[in-house]
Amino acid sequence: MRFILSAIPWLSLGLLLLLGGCASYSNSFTPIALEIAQQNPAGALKLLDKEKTPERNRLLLLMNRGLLLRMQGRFVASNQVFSAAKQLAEKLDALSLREQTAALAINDAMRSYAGTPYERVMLNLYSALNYLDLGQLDDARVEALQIDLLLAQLGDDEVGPLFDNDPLARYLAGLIYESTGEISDAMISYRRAYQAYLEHQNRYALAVPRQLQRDLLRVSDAVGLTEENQQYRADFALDHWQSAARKKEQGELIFIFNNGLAPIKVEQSLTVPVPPRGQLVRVALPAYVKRPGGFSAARLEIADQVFETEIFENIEDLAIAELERNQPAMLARAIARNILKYRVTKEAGKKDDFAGFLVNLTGIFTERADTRSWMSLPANIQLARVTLPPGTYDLKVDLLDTSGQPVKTLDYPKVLLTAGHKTYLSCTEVAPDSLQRKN
Amino acid sequence: MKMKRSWIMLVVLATTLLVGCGTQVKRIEPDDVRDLSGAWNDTDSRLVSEEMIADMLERPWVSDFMVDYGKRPAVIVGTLRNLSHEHININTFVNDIERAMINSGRVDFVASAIEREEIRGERKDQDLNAREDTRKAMGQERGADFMLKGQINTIIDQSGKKQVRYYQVDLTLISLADNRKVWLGQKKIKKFVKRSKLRY
Repeated sequence: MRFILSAIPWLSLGLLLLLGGCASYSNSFTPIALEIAQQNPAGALKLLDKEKTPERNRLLLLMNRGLLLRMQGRFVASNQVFSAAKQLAEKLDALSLREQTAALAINDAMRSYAGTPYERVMLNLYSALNYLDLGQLDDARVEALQIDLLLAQLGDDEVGPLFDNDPLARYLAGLIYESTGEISDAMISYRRAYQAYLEHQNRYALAVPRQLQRDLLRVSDAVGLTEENQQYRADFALDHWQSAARKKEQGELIFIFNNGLAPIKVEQSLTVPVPPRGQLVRVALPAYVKRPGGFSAARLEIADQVFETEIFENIEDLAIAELERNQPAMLARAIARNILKYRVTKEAGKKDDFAGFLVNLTGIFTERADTRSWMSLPANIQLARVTLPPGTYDLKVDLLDTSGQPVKTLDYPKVLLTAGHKTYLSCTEVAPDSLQRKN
Repeated sequence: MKMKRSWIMLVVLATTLLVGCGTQVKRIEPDDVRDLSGAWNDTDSRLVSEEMIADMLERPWVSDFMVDYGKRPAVIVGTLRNLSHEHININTFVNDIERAMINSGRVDFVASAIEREEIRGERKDQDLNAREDTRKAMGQERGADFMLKGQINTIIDQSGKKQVRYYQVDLTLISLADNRKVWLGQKKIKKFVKRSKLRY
């Protein structure tokens, strides 16, 4: 035992040299975010692949890769990566005692990143969108079923619900079922989406999208749920909707606007000397920082008509709520870790003051917050559905700033809409001012 | 004594850290049953196709057709829809079905729409380039008498790390002449999957 004790100062020195130069994970993402903002996902992917990723961050690498491939329109490759990510996330669900020990001895970032519940849902959601872009409806349907399964699993964990509900995932499932002609399944999914929006309305101030209200009216009417339909009419103060039969003869454009970038985690730390010997104790915890500014919505101009996107998913708020939920456990681990580090320092200091100082320094330096998260996700996802007679249209999209003024215009020439089909278009746009960090 | 114990601890620690290094490959027979994740795998695809086609060929529609027309029925595979929770490779399943049917020798099998395009292209090419006595004429294709359609469905029940996966494969054989359904086949597979709570 004495042998091990005497080795601790030297081990500490080694660890200090190894970890001393590590920047936090979220800092290393800045150049990649810049490439995304400049509409260069291929460049971002190159930067991402150049970085050396430790095995414990493999899931993050896959999630970012998948999304960057999707931004380039490489949907098949993107889905291969997402599929690997899903398998890995499932594997990482199991607890690793080795990593837990490392988390207690060094810091939380020593654990494999297993993804937060909302990130796991996003994996399925973007896979589904990839399949819809590829026109593989049955495969998109598989994702819809998996979303259902995953949300059931997250809502019924042994330690209690990990995640309440994901409105957009439910809505997308409804959209997919409607496309495959399974109208009663679509009704159930839209209804669940409505429930989720109502829950989120109170917690995150996310309104029930007007589009969902129209969808609920149309589908409840088509299924023949007269009473429910009347209830919706009263609740939404809406009296007109396009009938499902009429809609079938029309083409439909579904425009998805990935707005901005998800918030980043930064480290907040506190270092205090503890009497009597002045040993330093440090607690470092992650905190989210929102990216300021950004676009408020996208305005679509097509066939002399104007439509505006609505927020369907607010990832920013989901991320912050997720961190708040984990705060007590993270704090508990930090305290346990500090007690352990305090004891080891005290033991080392008994023999030799310098050794004690070295061990203390290592303890301080290695106490880092876990700032990992899926940072290529947008801050929010917006959506607009446009029904028009079949034909080819030129689409103009104005991105609006917070005061409603257009600041950027995107052109989509010759968008083909066919009867009874849905055409998907999506874009990722990051407002230049949202890249600056503001605390 | 104390010294010795710390050495043992170090050795144990080092071994645990080193275990799991290096790739291991072991060859196994294609019909070996290895269930890893509980998902639909090669064994399911093979067993289901073999059993269902065996059942299909035993039924009276084959002999009825032989009596009526004096030839073996020609079958084509239509769409097989995956309505399950997993991305199942439908192609290997279709290939397994085709193999089981052709090898039975009781039915003729017609190339699928995609394959036909390629063969027609070759025939067109022969028309220009092949010798007269080896040239194959156009418009001599054997039309299918029946189309096989089907779907794979799943029901999943789960609680915590436990899961019951229930697969149901339905195949339908439809007469192309009059839309009659001449055979309905069904095969069910049920699996209980328990995921580990611990990992290395």
